[in-house]
Amino acid sequence: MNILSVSDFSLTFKNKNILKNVHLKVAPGQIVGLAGESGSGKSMTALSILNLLPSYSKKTGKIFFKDSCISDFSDKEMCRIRGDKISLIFQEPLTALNPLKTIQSQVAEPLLIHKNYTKREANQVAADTLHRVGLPKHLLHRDVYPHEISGGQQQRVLIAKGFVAKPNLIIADEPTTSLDVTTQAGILKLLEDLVKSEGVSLLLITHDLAVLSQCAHRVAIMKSGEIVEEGETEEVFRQRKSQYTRKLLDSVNYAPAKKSKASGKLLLSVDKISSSYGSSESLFASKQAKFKVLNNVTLKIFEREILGVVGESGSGKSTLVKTILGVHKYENGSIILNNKKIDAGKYIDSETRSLMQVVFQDPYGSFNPRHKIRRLVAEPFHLVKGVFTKKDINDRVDIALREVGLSPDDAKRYIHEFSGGQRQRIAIARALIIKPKLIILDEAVSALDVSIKAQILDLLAELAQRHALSYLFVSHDLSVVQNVSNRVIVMQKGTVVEEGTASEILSFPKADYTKKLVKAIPKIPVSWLSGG
Amino acid sequence: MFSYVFSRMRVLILSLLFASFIIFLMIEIIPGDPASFMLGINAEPETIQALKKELGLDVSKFQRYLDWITGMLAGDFGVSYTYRVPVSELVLSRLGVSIPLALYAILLSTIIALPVGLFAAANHGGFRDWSVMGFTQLGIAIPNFWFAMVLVLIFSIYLKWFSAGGVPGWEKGILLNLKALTLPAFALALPQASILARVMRSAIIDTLSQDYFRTARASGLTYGQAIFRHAFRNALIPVLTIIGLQFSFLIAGAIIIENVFFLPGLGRLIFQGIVQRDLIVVESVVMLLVFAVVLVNFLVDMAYLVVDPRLRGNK
Repeated sequence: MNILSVSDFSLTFKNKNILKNVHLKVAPGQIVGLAGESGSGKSMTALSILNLLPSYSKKTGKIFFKDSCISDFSDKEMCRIRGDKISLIFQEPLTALNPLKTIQSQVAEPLLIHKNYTKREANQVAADTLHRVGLPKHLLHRDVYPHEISGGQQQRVLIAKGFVAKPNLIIADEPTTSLDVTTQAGILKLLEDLVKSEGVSLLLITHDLAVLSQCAHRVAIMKSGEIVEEGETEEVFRQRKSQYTRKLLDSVNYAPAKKSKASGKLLLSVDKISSSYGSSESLFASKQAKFKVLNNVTLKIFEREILGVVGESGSGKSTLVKTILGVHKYENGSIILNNKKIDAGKYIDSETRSLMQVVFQDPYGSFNPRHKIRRLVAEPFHLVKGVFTKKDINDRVDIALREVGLSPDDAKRYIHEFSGGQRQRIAIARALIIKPKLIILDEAVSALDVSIKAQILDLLAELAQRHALSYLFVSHDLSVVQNVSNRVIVMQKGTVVEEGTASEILSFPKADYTKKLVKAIPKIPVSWLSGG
Repeated sequence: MFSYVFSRMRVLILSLLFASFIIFLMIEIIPGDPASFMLGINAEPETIQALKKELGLDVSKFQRYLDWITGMLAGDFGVSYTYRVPVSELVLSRLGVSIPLALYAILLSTIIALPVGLFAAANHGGFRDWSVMGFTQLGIAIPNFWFAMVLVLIFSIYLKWFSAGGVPGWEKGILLNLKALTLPAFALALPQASILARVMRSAIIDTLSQDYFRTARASGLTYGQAIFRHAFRNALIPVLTIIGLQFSFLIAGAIIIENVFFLPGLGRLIFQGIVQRDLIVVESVVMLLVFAVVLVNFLVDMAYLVVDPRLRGNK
């Protein structure tokens, strides 16, 4: 008998179709992957199973847990299922935990509700479970709060909470999406281990096909609320019956065709800079200990070169970007752009400053929502000397929008009217408009779905070629970085641990840290990708 | 955690120093000479001079500021120009009314507001929520002195349950005094409770859309359990801020209510002090109020420490 079977389930929100005729089965002890891009209905499927839908939703079809039809259950009856028989693990481990309660009490909670444990027994089992999911000993004894532990540990706490009551099915919704690759590898191993040794079933929801190729027995591919393909993992990957699966698999590890060749002319030189946080001291703030974020970082970018910077969170990538942009101070060393020194708080002539533009990860957050696209894209014009007529500026905006594949008519719209990929295109148009030589791409494609990511990477490659641009391509994702860059530097704890051409780093990593990083990247077996 | 407490303490002390300076300066700028005011317009210049000397008004301004500060630190607030008794005595007897009144009002307001806010949030968007919002809107809009008079009309004149004003004094027993303070405390608490209930409601609603609330629901808690166990304490953080502000307001802001109910509180003392150019009383009472406000804010900051482990830092 299946642990879970969803049959012909459809869901509408105010006449809008969210899920359409979804079929899904999970057998005991099985890992079933549910893959798809954002908005495809993966998370809604998870919430539907636990019946945690908003009150205005309408559903048809049946969901069975073992042999009881839980889609007909009342909320009260569902409360006995949730956390006890089926548990749900969310992404964003920090916000998914209550900041004011100790991790132990949060893990113990399902036992107190479902199992009639005393507080003391529940806490003991919680501590054991935390140990089981691999939390270090010193975090088990005292009152530890979620903010005191790392992102990976927080995710382990959530898994412990989902697992503590020994449910039959765990649904994990993007459990590793916000984590570094090495941490991700650890979490996936833990989940696999729980399935193998404890016999739970796992419904693993993720956008990352490579992750599923490594651990799932079966996968279901979802697109706009429908399951387009379902089957044994290897079979689905090899046969690619549906067109959509083919498209998805083609975008994984997408490498844009043409790489521009670096010229010999130096554009930006960062020489042995060090930088720290917490150095400010004010009348009302007590003095904080200095925390060094960058330590003797050196890098060079030549004209028409794409330099990749990889590192996990906390490695100092973002601080490096801020320092180069001249918004964060550095203590020693120098940053020279086109023969002019850059230092936060010191005057930089606008001509030099206009050589450098930036595109951030969150395209929505980096735009003022109350301005129209025309004004947003024209923003960097204040850096350019000379008088521009309104018509000049408008023409330039139109050209820039065309270059990134949008239409000049879009200039009249607001940012919320665009999709994530389009927003990133607008951000690139804004960076392009004053014809810079260097564009800093700070995790610029990290939040995008694979197929959109491929399109943006193509666009970037094309623009680099056409305008002789250099990129500083900053990302936590080594596979993307190596596909687009000429050279790559690897950062760890504020220092550069390795530097080399992209293929060197991936194929023959020298530093231990790089080796660890390369090993942790989930990969789809090559034979599956070649087809047949 | 230590650095947090230390930095809050520093804010407390610096605020007090700054406030004392400003208060002294303001009093100096206000026209009117207490000595000539006390003696009337027909007084001889020599008499005025002599009185000034007696009151300590003849030395330099800086010296007077220092005397005032050091005096206060030693508990000596000076002697009132008009009442001819030490200010500390005056203030102490008035505090005996003002502080219990403020505490009583804040207690009532909190006891009413938190459940009401919780109730509205739990029924978010429904009819009950809307009615709570309507009544609290009314509570904020009604002037409290008018509400006070309505209370007097109903409970003192018609029902004769409470007296219409005054306090018997603490030597007559606690219960009698609390009874006398009940109507004024209700009058003060009404607008405060209305504001607080709204803050509580929106704070709870904010937590309902948080990820940890969803996690709580997913681990099998009912809606009510999840609100009680996970939303309530998170919502307390903004609520504490408002309670702190309200308490400071209640200590000094009860002037009108004290007048309606003939209560000899601090608000009336400061009002009389201003009218009679009793500068030393005004200075000291204002300083005391500043101290109360700053102290309450400090206590609120410390309460954050209890509620929010993130402020405690790494142990």
